[in-house]
Amino acid sequence: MLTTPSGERVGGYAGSLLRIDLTKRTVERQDTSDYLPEWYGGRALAARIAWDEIPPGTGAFDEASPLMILVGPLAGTAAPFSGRTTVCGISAQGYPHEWFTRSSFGGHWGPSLKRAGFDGLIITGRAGSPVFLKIENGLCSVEDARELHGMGIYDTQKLLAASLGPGWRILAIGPAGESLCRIAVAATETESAAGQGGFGAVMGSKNLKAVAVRGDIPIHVADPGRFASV
Amino acid sequence: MNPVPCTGCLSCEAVCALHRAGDQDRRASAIRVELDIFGGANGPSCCRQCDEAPCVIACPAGAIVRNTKTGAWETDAGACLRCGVCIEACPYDALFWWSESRGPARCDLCGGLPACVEACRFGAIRYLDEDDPLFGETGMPEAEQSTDAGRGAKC
Repeated sequence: MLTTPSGERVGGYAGSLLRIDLTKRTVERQDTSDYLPEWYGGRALAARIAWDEIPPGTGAFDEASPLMILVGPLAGTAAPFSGRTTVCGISAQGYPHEWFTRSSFGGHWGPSLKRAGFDGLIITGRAGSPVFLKIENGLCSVEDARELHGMGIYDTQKLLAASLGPGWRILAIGPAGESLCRIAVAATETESAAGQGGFGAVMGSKNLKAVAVRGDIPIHVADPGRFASV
Repeated sequence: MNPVPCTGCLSCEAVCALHRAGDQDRRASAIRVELDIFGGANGPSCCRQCDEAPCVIACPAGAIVRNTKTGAWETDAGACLRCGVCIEACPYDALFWWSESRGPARCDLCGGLPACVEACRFGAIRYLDEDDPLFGETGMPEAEQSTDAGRGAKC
């Protein structure tokens, strides 16, 4: 279970955030406890990071503009309606006044990210060619996605699932996101999309075609007995 | 188990894991829903407590015994060889590998009131006796026939 610097035990979190720089193709791990207990939940944590790290005047398609995809402490647990994933960053849709905003999507992607060992992704930079992220049981790699270029969200999921194997959940963008259409969505499964803000275009500006996650790491609950009775 | 109303929300897996492991460890769950890539589900698989259970016949250690109180098949953790033969023998793919120390995950009916039945908001899981008139309607035989039902048929 995750312990904050002040010694408080916090359940529900996987304990790690991933910082991915697509320009340098580097992946770093950060403790989620750096932001706890003040910044509970995906949206609050993203707002804190945005406040700390986004300088004024940053545009949605700037390399330095971070795309944050985060889950809260309840994702992946038995708590009802808990599986949503928050997407935060500088909005492409806000043009001409690009501004910090949030969106979110449902589906099984968020709980799978948590089971893969991470509470969130903070993605910066721009890859030289289309790439996708492969995240499984504590490991993350940046993989080539050139053959997925131009494909729709359904086809991207089908093709990746065929090459990766069973159990993967995939967040992807389609041709609209790749073409930096400012209302492009990032979506998973059939109907779970982060629409508000045009974060599909932000992913497209980073040449990030998809994020595939899979894992079976247990999520520790602080007080399982009380949790079950609630 | 009825695949028609199953939405693939995985609430049954989550409560089962919480009940069995005291934690959100999906591997501990004795009920599983296989999702396709679009989140479509064909209903949960879970032990049906067969009378002539293939897993019991297959077990080389004779480690699977009936709990006389609940009527559920249970694995004696001390006698279990962790060989996994029971998982392969199950015709319904309703036994799952938990871990080397715990062996297979097997439904114990939660002592008579299965938590998954309560957790399923869509009535996809029912706990019925074979003689129950409802058994034929939503029980095992019909569920097996409708393999294209559920949310997976959408896309």
